[in-house]
Amino acid sequence: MTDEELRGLLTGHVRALERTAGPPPELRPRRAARWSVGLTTAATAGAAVLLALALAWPRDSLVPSAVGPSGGPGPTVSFPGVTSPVQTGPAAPRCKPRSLRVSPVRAAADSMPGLVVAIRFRNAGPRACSVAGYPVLSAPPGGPAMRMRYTAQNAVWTVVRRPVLLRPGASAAVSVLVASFSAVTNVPCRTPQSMGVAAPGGSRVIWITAPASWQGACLRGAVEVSPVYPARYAPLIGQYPRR
Amino acid sequence: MRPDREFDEFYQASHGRVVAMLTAILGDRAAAEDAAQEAFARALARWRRVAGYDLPEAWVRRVALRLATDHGRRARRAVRLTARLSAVPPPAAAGDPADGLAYSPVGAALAGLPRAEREVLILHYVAGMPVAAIAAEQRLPERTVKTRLAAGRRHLERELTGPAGTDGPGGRRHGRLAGREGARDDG
Repeated sequence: MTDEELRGLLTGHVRALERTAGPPPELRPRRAARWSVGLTTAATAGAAVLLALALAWPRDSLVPSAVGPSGGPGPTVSFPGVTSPVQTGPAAPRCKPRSLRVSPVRAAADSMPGLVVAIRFRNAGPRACSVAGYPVLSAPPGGPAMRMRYTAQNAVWTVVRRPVLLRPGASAAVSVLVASFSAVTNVPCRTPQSMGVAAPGGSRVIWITAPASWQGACLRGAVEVSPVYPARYAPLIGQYPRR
Repeated sequence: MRPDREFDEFYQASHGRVVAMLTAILGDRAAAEDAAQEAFARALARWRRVAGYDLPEAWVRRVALRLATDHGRRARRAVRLTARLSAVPPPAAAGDPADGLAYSPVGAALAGLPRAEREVLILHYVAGMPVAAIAAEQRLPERTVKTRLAAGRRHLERELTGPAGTDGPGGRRHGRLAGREGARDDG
């Protein structure tokens, strides 16, 4: 392959990526002191109100239906026909599901209980909003069954369920644990090439291509899904919030 | 032209290019967008100085790459630490940064390369940076950059002309492994 051929291939690839990129998000610099005093005051007051609301919000109302009343692991939810786990009152305007962009699954860790991957939800809207609860995952029609379990606590993670405030362009994430069932039973398993994801609170399913690492796992066992947490901790293995 | 309008035009014109190049290097569009946004925010905070550079876009790309590298290091460290704390065995391979690459033949082939090789290939062939400039930017000897370029070319060619049936995400890993085994054979 000549230099020119290689340059053409790589440039074409990057241009294709550029064409599929969305419009630039609204920029919110951390240190750019270009805001007027009035705006700063208003933002501070708004943050104080949000904080007060978050503190005053009843804890129980944040518990999704997929979690038992004792706070332990909840009932198993099977596909198809399941609806989204109950989404609860966040302390800021809820993100509209259509403004949340779902990113491809990112491999995280191949650990003893199974494979942990993370799915990101980016706020592609122009305003800050909050997201809470669980997304809904599903296998493609006709594909292998996926037994889903939405849980805030398992052997891999402990996530305190709370709304995640997303500024424009910021992301939340969930961890997904896929059990390596075939390693226990030696039963050959079929693995899906894609996975349906409905953003928290939404019903519109977006199909994303499963990564190679996901396809190496067997989905005949339970698939466990965590509540959302800030994406900077993704892939979360351990506790959120950190202590 | 007013500085804020000047920055706005720069941002609108270069954001897509920077994100695309970072995505090709990092293999993860979300990480690329996050790093780019932070880098553009830093550029805005010191726009008077950055605007005076020959290539403000190159400054943003360089800052974004460093941010992404630092973030990746922190994430890997956190995974190791929390895995230890929670008695979960550490991952065999912490993360597969290639998972976010677009599923095109070139994207899949790039995914099979180590990030260091992807980075020099993209900077050299797409951004048009000479070897000396890449070496200065990455604080590496020129010889190292040349070695990475040569290895990247060799591995990319091997990935693109790999064995049949390795298309798609399931085949990328085979291609990458084949490439590494081949590299060992060469040695």
